[in-house]
Amino acid sequence: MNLIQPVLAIDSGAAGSLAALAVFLLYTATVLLLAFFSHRRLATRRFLNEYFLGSRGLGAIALALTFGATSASAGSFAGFPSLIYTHGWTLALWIASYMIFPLCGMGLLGKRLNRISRQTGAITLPEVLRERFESRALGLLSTLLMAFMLTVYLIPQCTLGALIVRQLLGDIPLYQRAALGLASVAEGWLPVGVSADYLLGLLLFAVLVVVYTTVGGFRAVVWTDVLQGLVMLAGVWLMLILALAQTGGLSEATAKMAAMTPPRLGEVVFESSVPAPPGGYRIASDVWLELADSSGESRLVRTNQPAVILGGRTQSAPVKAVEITSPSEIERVLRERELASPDLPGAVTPRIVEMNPYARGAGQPGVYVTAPGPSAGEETGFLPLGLAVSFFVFWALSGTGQPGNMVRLMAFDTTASLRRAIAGLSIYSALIYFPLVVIFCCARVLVPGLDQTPDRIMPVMAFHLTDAVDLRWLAGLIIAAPFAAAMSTVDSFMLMISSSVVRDVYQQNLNPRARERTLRRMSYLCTVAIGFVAVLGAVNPPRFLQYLIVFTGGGLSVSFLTPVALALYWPRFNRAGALAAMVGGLAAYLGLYLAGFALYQSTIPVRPLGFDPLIWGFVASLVSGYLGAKATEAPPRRLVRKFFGQ
Amino acid sequence: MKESKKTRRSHQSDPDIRYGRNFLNARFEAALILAAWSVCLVWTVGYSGLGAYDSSHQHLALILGIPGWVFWGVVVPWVAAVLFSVWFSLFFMADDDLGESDAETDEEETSRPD
Repeated sequence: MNLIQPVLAIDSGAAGSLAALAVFLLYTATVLLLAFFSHRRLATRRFLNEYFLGSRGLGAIALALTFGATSASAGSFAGFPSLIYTHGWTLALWIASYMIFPLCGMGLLGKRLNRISRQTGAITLPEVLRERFESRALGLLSTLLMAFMLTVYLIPQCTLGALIVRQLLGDIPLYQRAALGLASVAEGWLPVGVSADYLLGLLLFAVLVVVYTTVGGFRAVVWTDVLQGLVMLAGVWLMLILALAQTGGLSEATAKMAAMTPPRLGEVVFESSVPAPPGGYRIASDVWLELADSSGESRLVRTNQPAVILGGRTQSAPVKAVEITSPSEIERVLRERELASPDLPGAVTPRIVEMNPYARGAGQPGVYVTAPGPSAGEETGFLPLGLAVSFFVFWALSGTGQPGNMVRLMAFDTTASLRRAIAGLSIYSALIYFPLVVIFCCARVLVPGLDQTPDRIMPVMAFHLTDAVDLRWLAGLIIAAPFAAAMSTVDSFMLMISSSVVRDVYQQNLNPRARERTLRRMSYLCTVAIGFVAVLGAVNPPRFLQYLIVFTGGGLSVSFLTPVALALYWPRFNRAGALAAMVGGLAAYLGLYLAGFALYQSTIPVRPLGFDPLIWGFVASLVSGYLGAKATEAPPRRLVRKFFGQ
Repeated sequence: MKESKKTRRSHQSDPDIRYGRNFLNARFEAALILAAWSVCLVWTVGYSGLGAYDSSHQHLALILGIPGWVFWGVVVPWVAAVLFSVWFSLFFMADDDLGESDAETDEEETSRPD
C-alpha cells in the first residue's frame, strides 16, 4: 500500500472517475431534455396552473415517484446510511414508520385536498387555506412560514448536492483544473475554510437544478423525479446484490456484527525525525496502522482524514482516527489486508494522541444487533424507546404534513391515479428503505473503521463493492442515486417558494389583475432568485445548519398538518382555530428547543417524558386548534355547504 | 363498500347541510388509515420494545440473516402494511368525483391576449 504521496496527488483511480463523469453527463443531458419538453408544453397551457401544478394532470406512476423522490432528500442517501453504519440494526426500528408512510402521506389528505384545491382553483397550499377560511391573514402567515422554512431547508440540500458533485467528479483532472481556475478568480472574496472544488461542485449543482426547474416548471420537476426515483431504485438494488455477495450472505454479516464492539474514536499525528522535504508529505486518508502501545500490546487504528507534514516541518496536524476494538475484527482486518507494518518512510512514525471509548456500548458485543444501539456521546444509546415512538410518529405523520408532499396531492388527475400511486409507492418504499438497512449493515463488515467520517460511507461503499467485481463504472450509477435525491428535493422546494411568492404575495395581494405575461416573467425571475439565495447560503453554511434542518422540517409539519387536516375534515373548524393550531403547534415546538438551549446551552431540545418536541408540537396544535375553533363563532353556513356539501 | 357510500345525513351538526360523498368517503377512509397506522405503531414499537432492548447477544436468533426482533418487529409488520396498503388502495378506496379540473379550460384561457 502506497501511503506517502506528493501533496497534490490524486487519491483514487481515474477510470472510475471517468465512468462517474460519463454517468453524470448522461444524467444531466436527460434532465435538460425533460426540461425542454416540459417548456414546450407550457406554451399550450394556462401558465401558472401548468408551471406550478402541471395542470393537475399527474397519473399514478408520476404521482408515486414524485412523492417518493421528494420525500427522499439527500439525507436518505447520505445521513441515513451513515447512521446505519454507526449504530447498526436499530436503524430498522428508526425507519420502520415508512411501512405505512405512503398510505398515510397520500391517503389521509389526498382526496379532500385535491377536491378543495379544484373547487377554489388554488395552486398553492396557502391559497387553499386562504380560500377555505376566507382569510387573507391566514394565507399570508402560511406563505411567510413556508417560504422562510423552505428556504432554510434548501441551503443544506444544496450543500449536500455540492459535496456529492465533488465526490463524483473530484478526481477528474478537468474538474481539478477548473477548481484551480475558480480559486484564482475567487481569490480574496472566498470565505475562509471554503475550498474552490466545493464551490465548483455547488455551482454545477445549482446551475443544473435552477435551469431545469426554471425552464420546465412543475412538470419538469415531476418528470425528473420519475427518472430520479428509478435511478435510486436501481442504485439501491445493485448495491444490495453486491453487498450480500461480498459478505457471504446476510447471516454471516449479522453474526460478525453481533461479535463487534464499538471502536474508540480519537486522533493520531504523524511525526518525522527529520524536517520534511520542500514538497512535504501527504499521508492518504483511510490508512490502516498497527501500533504498539506502552505495554507492548498491538492496536489497530485507521485514519479517517489525510495528514500533511508541510515542507520543513516535522509533525502533521492531528487527524481523526478510529481504533478497532473487537478481537475478531482485528484478526479479520489484518488477515484480509495482509497488514504487517505501514509503508512509511523511515523518518515518519504515527502516534496516537487520544482515543475515547463510546458512551454506550464500549466493550459490549451485541450492541450493533440490538436496540438502542451504540452511541459515542449519549449514555442512553442511539434510540431509547421514547425516541423510537417519536420517530414512528415523525416519519409517517410529519411526512404527511410536509407542504412539498401536500402540493403533489393537489396535482393528480383522478382518484384512480391516487389509489394506484399509494399501492405503487408502498411497494417502492419497501424496496428502498429496508434494503438500505441491509446494505449498510454489510458496510460495517466490509469497510470497517470509518466511524469518524461516516457521511461518506455511501460513495466509499459504492467504490468498494464495484472495485471488488472490477465493474467500477457501476459506481457512477450508484452514486447518482444520492445526487438524484438532492436534486429532487431542491427543485420541488424552489418551485413551492416561487409559487408562494408569485401567487400568494404578488398576484393575490399586490396585483390581482396581473397579466399572464407578467406572471410568467415573475415566476422565472423568482425561481432563479430563490436558487441564487440558496447558493449564497450554501457557499458558507452556518454552523448550526444541521440542527436548523431538523428544526425546520419538524416546524413545517407542526405548523401545517393539523390546520390542513382539520380544514379538510371538520366542518366546524374556522379561521381562529386554524390560526391557533398553526401558531400553537409552532410555539410549543419552538419553546422546547429554546428551553433546551437555555437549560443545556446546546441545540438539544427538552424532551418531556422522552418524546421529541415534534410530538408535543402536534398535541399543542391539535388542542389549540380545537379550543380556538370552539371558543369562537362557527364558520358561515355557505362555506360549510361549499366545501362539505354535495 | 362502494354501494353503501351513498350521500347521507350523518353526525351532522347542521341538519340543513347534506354532506357530500367525497367528504364522507374520505373521512371514513382517513379513520381507517389512522387505525392502521396505530396498529403498526403498537406492533412495531411494542414488539421491539419487548425484544430488542436486550444486548445479551448470546441468545440472538437470526431469521434469514436478520435479528429475530427485527424480523418479527419490523419486517413482518412492514410486509403486512404493504399488503394492507395495496388492498386498501386498489380494492377498498372509493373512486370519488374530484370536480372539474381548471386545466380543462386551458385552451380558452391561453387564447386570451395579454
